[in-house]
Amino acid sequence: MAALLLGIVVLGFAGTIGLLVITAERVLIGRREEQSAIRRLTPAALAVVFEDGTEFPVLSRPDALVFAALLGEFSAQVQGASHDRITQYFEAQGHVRAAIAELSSRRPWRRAVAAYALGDMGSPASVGPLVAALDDERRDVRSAAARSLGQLGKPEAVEPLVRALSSGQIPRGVVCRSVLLLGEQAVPRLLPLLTHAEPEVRAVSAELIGLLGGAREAQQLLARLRDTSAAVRGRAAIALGRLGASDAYSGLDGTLRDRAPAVRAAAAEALGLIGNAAAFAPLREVARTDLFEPARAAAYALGRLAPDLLEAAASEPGAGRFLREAADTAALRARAPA
Amino acid sequence: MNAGTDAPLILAADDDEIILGLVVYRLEHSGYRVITAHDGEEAVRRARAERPALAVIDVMMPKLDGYEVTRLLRAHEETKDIPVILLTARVQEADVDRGFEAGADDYLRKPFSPQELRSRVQALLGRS
Amino acid sequence: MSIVDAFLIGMSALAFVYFVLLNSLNLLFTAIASITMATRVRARPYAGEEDAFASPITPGVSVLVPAFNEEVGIVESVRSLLALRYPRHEVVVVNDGSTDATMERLHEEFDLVPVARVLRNGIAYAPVRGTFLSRRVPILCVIDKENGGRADALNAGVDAASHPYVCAVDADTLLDKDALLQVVKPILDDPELVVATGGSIRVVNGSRVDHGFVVEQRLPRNRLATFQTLEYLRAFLVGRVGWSSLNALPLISGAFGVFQRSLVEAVGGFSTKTVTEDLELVLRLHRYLRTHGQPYRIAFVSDPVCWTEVPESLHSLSLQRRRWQRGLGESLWRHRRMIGNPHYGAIGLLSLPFLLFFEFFGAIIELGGLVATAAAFVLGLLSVWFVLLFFAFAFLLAIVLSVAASTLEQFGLRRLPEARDVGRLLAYTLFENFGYRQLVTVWRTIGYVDLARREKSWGAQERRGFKLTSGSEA
Repeated sequence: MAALLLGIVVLGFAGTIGLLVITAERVLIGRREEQSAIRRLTPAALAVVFEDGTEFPVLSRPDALVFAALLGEFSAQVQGASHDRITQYFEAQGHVRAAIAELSSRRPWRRAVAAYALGDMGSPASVGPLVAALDDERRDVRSAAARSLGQLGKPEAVEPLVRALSSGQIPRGVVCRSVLLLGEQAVPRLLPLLTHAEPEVRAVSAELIGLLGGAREAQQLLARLRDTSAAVRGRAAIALGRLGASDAYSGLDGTLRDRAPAVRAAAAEALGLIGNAAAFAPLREVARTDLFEPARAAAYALGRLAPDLLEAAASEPGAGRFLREAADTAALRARAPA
Repeated sequence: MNAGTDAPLILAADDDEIILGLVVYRLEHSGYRVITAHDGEEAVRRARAERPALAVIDVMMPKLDGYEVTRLLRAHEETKDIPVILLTARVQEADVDRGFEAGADDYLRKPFSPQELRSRVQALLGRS
Repeated sequence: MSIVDAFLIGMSALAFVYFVLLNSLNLLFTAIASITMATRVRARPYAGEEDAFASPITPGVSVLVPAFNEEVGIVESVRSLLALRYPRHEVVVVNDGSTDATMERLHEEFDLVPVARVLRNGIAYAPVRGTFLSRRVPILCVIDKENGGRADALNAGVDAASHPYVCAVDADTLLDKDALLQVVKPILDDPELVVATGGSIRVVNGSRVDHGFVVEQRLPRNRLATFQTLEYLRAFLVGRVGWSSLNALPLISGAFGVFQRSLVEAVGGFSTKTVTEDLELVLRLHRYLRTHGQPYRIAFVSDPVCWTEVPESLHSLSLQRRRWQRGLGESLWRHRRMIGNPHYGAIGLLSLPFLLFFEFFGAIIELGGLVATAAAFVLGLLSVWFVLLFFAFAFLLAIVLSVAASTLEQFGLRRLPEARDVGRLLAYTLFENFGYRQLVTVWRTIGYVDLARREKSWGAQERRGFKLTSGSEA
């Protein structure tokens, strides 16, 4: 009995080992073949991208997959006429249609791969189906769809992506990157989120508006400087700095006295970016007397605002260590060798 | 379409094979001769050795980044007049300034338009 | 039946149960890892790190490099860290009172200038002698301080860091170009939830290194190093992935981990009282966060790779394993309240008991079990079938696990390995369990003695540095 058990166990193990070894071998060979296929097909792929009226090559199925992957990689790196040509290829070969169909596949990973590939293919026809995929039951698929919508850049994607910011169903990083790719057109839809119930949503939209918006948005961001959440106040301050809105000065000046050190630091940084000379005195005060984060930010902001006056400010009695550090660092950078 | 030996020589530097391939193709098929480099050090070395008429340099490269390469080119007699176009994936204002401070002549963001690149190259070469 | 006989049989039975449990658990982890790996590889086309690179919202990371007597490799190491593909990072080198030319090398290579960088003083550490910035490289900062140990040096780094996240890296480790991007990705996707992430470590011995990056991954020539390659594969490809999927990751290796800076400061920084401060910190983080009732996640990313030089001599290796055993014991003792405690969730109920039984006590059980089984068999107390069965579960199954880990590696690798390396690795899985593993067990057992004697030293590390060679050795 024991002998039988032993026999089964040993055979089982030996068999497994054999299987694994063979698998490893197969994988290795497969990847080598793929690499040589890539080398072989690259010239043709480049021709498709650049040559007008190139005949699309007829390829065997495995080659066609590699070719499509290659073009997908090219597509991610280019824009303009080259990008349009790649899209034409994918549309003409039926890849776009096939990928859109795959979005309804029962296998989640197929849906995800298709959702991702559609971004690189660049066809406007995929926007609708991708928006629908934003509600897929799997996170991976939703992420891939969000990323692709960012790449496609069409206005229909703005509303659903911005909604995804508040729903939390798609990783924050992915949605933000896509919204950034959508650009200015997303701003009108982001503004209402500044008064959303959740502080994280308000904070993220403030950040995005700072990166995408213009001076017009400053007023609404100013209102956020009095938000109940420190995170929101801080991001709104940075956003105002990025927008360079000069009429934000008095609001930010007040925020220099916020109760949260991180918010004070953000206000200091923003004042450095805005460039209003009146900020010099309040920033110097913060750099001399405040806690680590705000003092450091204020010292460096001062260096941005008035580089010529930094050394003098740092040399005054009681100037403190932060001004000294900022001045020394600035001096170092100014003398950097070619 | 292969360029004749008196066609201008361009140095293309990028560690990303895909982008390098695209840039080389576009430039070669526009009548230029192209030499390549895969990192900052190679870029500087080849620039000094072969004195290209123009250099297209990616900012993110191993060993020396694009800004460093540009600075080094500007610092040396043999290479200081080579026009430089920087290619970058980054989106921030600070990086544009940094590029010009280093001595670059032009700046192209990725994803880039190969046609745009060609126009900029033509413009810079037309000037010098 | 005499007491000795009973004891021998008992010990043998215990060891048998131990092996069955351990290897079955590892089998489970291997299954989890295979599924995760398959998903991962499929996901790779759409993982999109390059997108993260271009984003202005990617959080800044301060890479901390504690360095003690690293004159041989410090420049290469720092250069490669400076060249990492990441939109916003700084490198903070902390010279922990080196007695060799570490500082001189740094001064020469990076043209350092003293700048009085302000330190928060949020954590205590040995006195700082000076802080320096580089004239050539804007993102480098060097802190020169008196010797206090690795944890102490890391604390100085955490205190000085300007970014919201810190990445603790060893001075003798090399990172892949995209490693920082990949290891930060879980944080980027879920910044409120993910507070720390860890990356995967591989053995660099034998690989070709150019300017601080691995250009060709090869198996080491040295036999000990090859065995360790297998160990690291099992630990990182299988073990960590499994624990991470249960949200019970007990360890982010000190060689490569990203932490939220303010959190590290809040729990008091790395502990200088234990020799494996990385394990201890993660345990402390788990404890702190669970006590505060904050939802959180500590993630393990199996893709990004950090390369480390492993000991190639018996002496060095033995010191390292004794040290690990000692550190494990110290950390477990310190956090003994968490073991088996449901208040600490999966960490308390699963990972810590696992660490205690299999990692800590495992050494004595394995060693004792082997000796007892051999003795019992010789004395005729055990049937040959039992012994063979024992053999099958203890050795054969372990070989299966090693082979599985190697195969998984093939799936996951981005680089293409040499066929003969693959073959060699598979051959080594056979020998690993006949000699090497037992040797390590003996050293671990000596580790108990060290623990009891309250050993404090680290032992000297031999360094060969990373220079570009035309051959295949690092």
